[in-house]
Amino acid sequence: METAVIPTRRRKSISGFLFTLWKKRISYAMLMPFLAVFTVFGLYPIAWSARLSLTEYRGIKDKPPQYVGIDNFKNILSLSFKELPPELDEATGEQIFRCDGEKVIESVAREMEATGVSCEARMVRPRDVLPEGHSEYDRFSFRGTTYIIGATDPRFWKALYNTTLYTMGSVFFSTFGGLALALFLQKQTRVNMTLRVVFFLPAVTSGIAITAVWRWIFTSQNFGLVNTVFRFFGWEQVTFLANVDWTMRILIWLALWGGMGFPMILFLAGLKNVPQELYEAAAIDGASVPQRFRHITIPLLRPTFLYVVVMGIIGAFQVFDVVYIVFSTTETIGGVLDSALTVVTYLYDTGFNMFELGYAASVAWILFAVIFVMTMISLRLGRVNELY
Amino acid sequence: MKRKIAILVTLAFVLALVIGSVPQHTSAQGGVEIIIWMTGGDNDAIVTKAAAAPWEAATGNTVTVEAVDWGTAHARILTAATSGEGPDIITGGLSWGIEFGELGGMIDLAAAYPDDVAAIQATDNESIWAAIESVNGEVYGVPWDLTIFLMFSRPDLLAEMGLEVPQTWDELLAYQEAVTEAKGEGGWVSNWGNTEWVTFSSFLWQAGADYYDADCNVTLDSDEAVTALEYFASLYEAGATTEAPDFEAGLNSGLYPAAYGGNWPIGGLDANYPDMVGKWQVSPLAAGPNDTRTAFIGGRVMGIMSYSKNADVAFDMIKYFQTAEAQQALIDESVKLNTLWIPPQTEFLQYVAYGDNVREAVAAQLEDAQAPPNCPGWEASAPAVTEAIQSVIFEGADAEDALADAADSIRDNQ
Repeated sequence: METAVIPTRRRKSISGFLFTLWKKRISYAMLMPFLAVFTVFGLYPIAWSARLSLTEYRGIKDKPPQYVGIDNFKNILSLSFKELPPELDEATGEQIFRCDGEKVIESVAREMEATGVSCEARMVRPRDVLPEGHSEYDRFSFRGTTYIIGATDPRFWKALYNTTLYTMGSVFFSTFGGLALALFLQKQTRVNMTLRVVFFLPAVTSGIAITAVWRWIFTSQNFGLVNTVFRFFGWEQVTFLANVDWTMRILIWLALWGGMGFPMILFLAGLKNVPQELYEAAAIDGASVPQRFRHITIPLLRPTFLYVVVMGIIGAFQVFDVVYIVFSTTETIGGVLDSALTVVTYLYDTGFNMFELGYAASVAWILFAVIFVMTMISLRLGRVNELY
Repeated sequence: MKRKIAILVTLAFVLALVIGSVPQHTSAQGGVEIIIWMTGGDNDAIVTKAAAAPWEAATGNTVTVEAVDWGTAHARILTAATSGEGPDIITGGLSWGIEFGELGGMIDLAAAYPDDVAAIQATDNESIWAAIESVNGEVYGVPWDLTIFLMFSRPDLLAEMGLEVPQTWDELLAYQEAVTEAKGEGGWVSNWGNTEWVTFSSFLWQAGADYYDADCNVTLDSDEAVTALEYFASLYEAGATTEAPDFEAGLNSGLYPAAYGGNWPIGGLDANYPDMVGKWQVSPLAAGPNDTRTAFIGGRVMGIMSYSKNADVAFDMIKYFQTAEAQQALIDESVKLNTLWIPPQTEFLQYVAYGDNVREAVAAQLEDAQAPPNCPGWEASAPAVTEAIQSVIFEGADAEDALADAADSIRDNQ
């Protein structure tokens, strides 16, 4: 009996669907232009990218993508972890040291150290202990033993590390910088209104132009503003743009400078929505200003915080233009020793400089997964649905 | 009457269709539009367009030149190759021909036009061909122009410090130490990949080392290479700036009274810095321990995209640019835009503009120049070399270890 009923229901549901479609034909017709554009420029590229990520494709029409399964993902993500033993002298069995550019055995090194020469213990070459195809990504010492982290693609891990560091720094500072500005400028005075415009200006100015100006500001050339100030005070010149220690600081500073305005506006809107009665009631109950801020302002700004943080994370993980303009040269894209290499700049380098388009598509999907997970964690930690 | 009119209209319509369907772009009859993507700046496009005018007039074809900046050219050409739509001809870095060619994006000119390509090779600078001809003998692009490292200097400012233009590695290092001690900044610098493999290559070759041997076996981990890298790092340790410099301004202000640079600033120095007229000079690089002054030579290649329907006409135009008339036009048009043009043909070096000093220095340095390797996997390996160099300069890594790692990376890419 059931087999006779189901087709009838299906017929009914299909006819019902067609009837609904016909009834709302004007609405759907009006949606068609968007749907067409979204399909061509959104869905199709995403689907094509997913397909490419499973292939080896070097971008020439005559050579179609070759299916390689998840090899690209394995190559990108494979890590290894090994102990790095000291390099020993074959004749004496003593460890080899490097003293003043010379290789010497330990007993000689000790003598040289006694005369003030600095010596460094040498380890075996990472390739001798890492699995085939792995190169050194990083090393560290723990309780006198040196360990090495190997990777099939150390540049990806470097890029991911840099991007994570940049995201943490830029999101943290722009969020709390934006909140601080909003708190300082929340009163509707003429000065505050002007300052709000000033702080919001970077958000509506061309990022490329601003970034180019920052490059000039930080250069160590004669026209570099920061170094001109340093010269004025007689301080030592700093090659900011070719110094591993300064790269991330500069990137985060640029994110802070250009990224505080938007959170400030959002926090100002959020602060306006906090009922004044709560503050008044708390004041009558004897709550101090910090207590009111901690127990009223912060909880009620949670949805704004969440929005600012999630959008900040998504934006920061996709940073490209700042790195490309400030740190790339004609030969390298990620600055000195890849210290500014981020995931998207690495993706660009892999895809458009190395022609590994399938590999680059895999990097893009890994980036998507990372952003997705980070956003989920933020949403979970923020518990946006919790009401006050 | 109406019937006659209808017949006439129909005939006219059919005639129009027939005329319209006849191919209008044939190499024999002219009328072909050759589109060139000129990697560089607007000036390069203007110069090329002007120099192509006699060929256009003689053949009835037209040349459209579009400037594409270095930063985006690689990606744009790849996109064109992938989509099968774009220019007929591209210019780009020396290695680009092999790169795009081996992917199937460009025509092997040596196979398509063997006699003509052999004739071009016979007249060109030998070093440049080592970089553009693949190990299997394919030629996906012929040299378009040359770029070479030279020593730029201000003898007047050096004399004030009691110095002369450095002639050897020892003198170069001593000069750097003297400038650092006197001024605390400046001295030697490179405007062409400072702290990167391009600049390092000259030092590598001057030390008698190389990236590969003649059979493309990796030799970067040799003792000579270690000597080169240790010396290269010592220049920065002595105070040379690690940043990309504003080279011309530094030469003018005296920040860099003697420095290595690609030849491109030469054309604009007098125009942009009138106070410096007659005070600057160029000369070959300082000699290394092998007593050679080998300089890195670069430039651009010009090749034809494999999808081009006008390959024969495009190659005809490329051949025209090998003539004395075209090279003289390129030199003259470049001068109008304050640009130095160095022709790849050795016999035309005598026409190089901007005076005897420039002409003699360029010719002398081209006698002792080397181009980047053409071995398989080199393009993917260059970043590993830069990483090795920078790990020594910025982190104090051992040069021997760094080069050994770089050599392994190069082997992995083969």
